[in-house]
Amino acid sequence: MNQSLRETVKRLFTEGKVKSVLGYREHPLSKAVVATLITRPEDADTLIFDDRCVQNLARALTRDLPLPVGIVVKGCDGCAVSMRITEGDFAREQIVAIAVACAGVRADGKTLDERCQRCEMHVSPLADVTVGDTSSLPKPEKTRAETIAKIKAMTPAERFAFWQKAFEPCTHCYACREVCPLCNCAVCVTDQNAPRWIEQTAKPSSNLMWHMIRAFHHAGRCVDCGECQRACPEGVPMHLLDLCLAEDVEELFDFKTGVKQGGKWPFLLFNPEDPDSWLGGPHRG
Amino acid sequence: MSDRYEPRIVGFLCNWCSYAGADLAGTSRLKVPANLRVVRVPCSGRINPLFIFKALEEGADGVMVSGCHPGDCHYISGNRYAKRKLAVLRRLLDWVGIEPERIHFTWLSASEGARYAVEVAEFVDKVRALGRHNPMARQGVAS
Repeated sequence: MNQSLRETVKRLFTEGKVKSVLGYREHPLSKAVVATLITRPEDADTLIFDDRCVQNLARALTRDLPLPVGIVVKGCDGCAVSMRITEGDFAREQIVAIAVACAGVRADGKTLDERCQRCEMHVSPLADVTVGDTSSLPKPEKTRAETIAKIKAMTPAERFAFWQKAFEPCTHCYACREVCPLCNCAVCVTDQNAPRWIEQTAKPSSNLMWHMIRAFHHAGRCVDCGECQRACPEGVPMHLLDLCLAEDVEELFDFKTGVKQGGKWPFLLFNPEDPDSWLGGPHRG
Repeated sequence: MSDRYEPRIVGFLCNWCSYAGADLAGTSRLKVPANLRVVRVPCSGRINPLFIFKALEEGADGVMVSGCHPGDCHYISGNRYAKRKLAVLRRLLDWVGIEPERIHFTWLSASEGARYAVEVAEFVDKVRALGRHNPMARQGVAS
């Protein structure tokens, strides 16, 4: 895998298809896998890909990188890059997606991440070159519907209590925002202070406000890379709420995030046939 | 003064249809419950979900949103975008355990003053039945 990845990257450089490449490397001292940006073909020998490559590099794409930029993408990362192109952050030709066959990652070094257990997208749908054997990738062990079934089964009061407890440790450090490949607002709504929409003190009402607005902003955009939850120092399961809304968006608008490249975000479209029943009962004339 | 619980409701009304409809209800001397505090917005499409969350957090017991009938939007299609946003917003409220019935959405034209009065009265009764407890309200906010 590493060898073919390195050869592919070198070839992209020599063919002039990329000016820089975002990938993973092992830190020489700590042996931890870190993100790296290379701009010379000889540096390609530092690149690696294995099950320790947990980060979503789509977050690191910025327009001041030497473009076109190659990016090593797992399935979920590729969806995020695709989404960023769809949203107009980048032109398609500015990005060269180096899709790697990903059998899932292990953030703790032992067990498969929860996000990977339900992964249906082991290879990025956005792929200019593909590296690795894509024929023998694992099947999902569980589905998203199973993941959110326990919340679905609760009564409204139980749900409320569940989220209150889940959000309680939140310290409003916004690591979930910083790590999210699609949190791209120039000024985040929680940082706006005229008016101050969301208080930044950690207390039940502002925890709920932050996580609700966060989930809403990700409705139909979240690619289920699960980075928010991985980055959270307090273990807040905020990604669960994203999954709940993803289910709704798929059901309401028949939109699967990041898959239909070029397909617009459903909130930027409408269909004259959109039923009034969405708003709670038939329209009365 | 009766002891009956009077819910506080925030209404986001579109300037072009619903707000004029509310005006018509007033000039027609129709009785409209005073529970509704109206916020005039340029279009139902202007309503950020944040407005609704904030209203609930600040202690509103219900939120009414009203825009032009489909096809009548002053900005051509703002109300149709609003519908998509509000559809997901209702689902989100449901997911976090807040009754989506606290949000009322209706299409209302400038000529429907009478219907405005009825819609508001019905919604106020509905929220009254849901009760005082809006779980999202910030602590210390009197309701």
